[in-house]
Amino acid sequence: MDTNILQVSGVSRSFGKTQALKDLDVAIPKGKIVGLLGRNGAGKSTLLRIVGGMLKPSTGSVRINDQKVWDHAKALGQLCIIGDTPDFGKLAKIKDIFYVCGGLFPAWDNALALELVKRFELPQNRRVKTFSRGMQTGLMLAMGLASNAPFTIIDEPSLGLDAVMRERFYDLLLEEKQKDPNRTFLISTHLIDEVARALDYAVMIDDGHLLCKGTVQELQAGYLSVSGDADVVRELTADGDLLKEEELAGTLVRHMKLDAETIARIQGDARVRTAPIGLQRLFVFLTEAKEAERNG
Amino acid sequence: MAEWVRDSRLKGVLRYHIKSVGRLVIWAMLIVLATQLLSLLTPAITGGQYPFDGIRANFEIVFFAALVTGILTAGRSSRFLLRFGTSRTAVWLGNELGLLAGMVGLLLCTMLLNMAIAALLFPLASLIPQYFSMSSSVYATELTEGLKRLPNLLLYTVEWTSILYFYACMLRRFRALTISLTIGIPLLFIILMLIPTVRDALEVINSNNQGQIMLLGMKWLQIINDILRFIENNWDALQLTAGIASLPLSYLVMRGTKQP
Repeated sequence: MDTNILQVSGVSRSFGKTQALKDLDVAIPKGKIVGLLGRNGAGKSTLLRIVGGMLKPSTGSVRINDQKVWDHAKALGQLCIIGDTPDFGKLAKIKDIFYVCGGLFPAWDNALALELVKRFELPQNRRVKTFSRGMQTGLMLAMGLASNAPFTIIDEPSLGLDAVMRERFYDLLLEEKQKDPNRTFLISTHLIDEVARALDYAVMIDDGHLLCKGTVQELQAGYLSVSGDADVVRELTADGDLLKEEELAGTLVRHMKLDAETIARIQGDARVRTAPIGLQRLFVFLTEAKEAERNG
Repeated sequence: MAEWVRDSRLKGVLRYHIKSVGRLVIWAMLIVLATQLLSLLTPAITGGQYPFDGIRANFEIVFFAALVTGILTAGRSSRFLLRFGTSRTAVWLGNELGLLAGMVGLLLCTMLLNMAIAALLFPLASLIPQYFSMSSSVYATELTEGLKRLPNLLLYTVEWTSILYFYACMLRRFRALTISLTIGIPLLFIILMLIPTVRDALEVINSNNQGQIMLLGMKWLQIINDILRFIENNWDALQLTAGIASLPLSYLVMRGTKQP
């Protein structure tokens, strides 16, 4: 049995002279909360539009549960995409929107949707076009969570939401995932630190290319921040690849890519302090390294 | 088939149209009702009799509503439905079914409304006979006439809804081209007809021959008459062909339209 819900193979897409995606290969595992991480303009939204059947790739193929996506009802039937721009068509009220969602998504949970409306503090009887941007985003997120679609994609979930609501959304996401462990969520964002606590798996893309992918633990495994006396830190990290070096109040901090043996040796050394590199910093270091490589 | 209907989300597309097209139909009916009620006041202003023009379904209103709804459906509504990952086939099929049901419903509602307004003339005629008149025989005759015309109007509604949805899909995908053709084709006909006519007319006028002027006028009247007669004789067939051809064409145009 295929363990991937989404298989993107050799996908490229250009808009005029701009190439948004370049021969991209990505697989999204089933039953995980996956982060699609990248800078603005990295190609995340283009990839999601292709996955959602809104855009055809110039080359390559996209398959959901091993079925082609483009205008294929069976493949698209698994999917709920919540875009980064709130859009409710010509529907005016929450009850109308939920009535339509009940027909669009076979496993729609109306009780949950109404519960989420309360949790996002949305006024039920006001016209949705009078909602603030944050409220509209909250409503879109409620639709995504209550859709119970086996594969739910959410593009930039935090746009317009305040800090409290953002945290509430990630709590709700984890709750829903716990209720149905087979559901797969793909969360696309450039605010990596914020989403990191909810992720099982991450795919990082930059400039239309795949930067890296894996479970959060796998991605962080070979990387370590080492701080302490400059000479000691330099001596201990001499064998690894330096990502970044910082001097903080007379202490040297080196962010390194190291093999497992060296990491174990450094972590056992009492002269230095060590810390795993957070997903966001790791993404920044990798992107900068890639940029430096591209610029020669 | 049942599996396709479930996976394709056709049910959701139809529910969307119940809300959006349904609302437009209600608005159109309210406007028609307001117009009819206002027309009942005309005798009070003009001092004459109420101009009762029979019991009939208002195809003109349905035509206009089909154009407006078609444009909204091909644009904003399709975008909304496709954004959740709904297949294009389902969105197209749902759009066609929703529009057809909405416009047929609107046509029937205008018929019912006209029947009700005509029925209202009975009490008004007994209360204010100088302004209103209505008898059972007139009502029965008009109703029979109206019902006799209804099947044809229903067919026209289906045909024109399909044609106008195709036009709206074209407008969405090839806006500049469609607008150019909409204005350009009638203009081209006029130019093609006018230029030789004007040239010939000028030549004849310059030659000062009255008989030739008459002959030329007759010749062009004959050509126009032949064209109009051909269209008139084959109008139903032309309309039906265009309506049927619009169905697959609108699917092909909509299927390839880029979505934001």
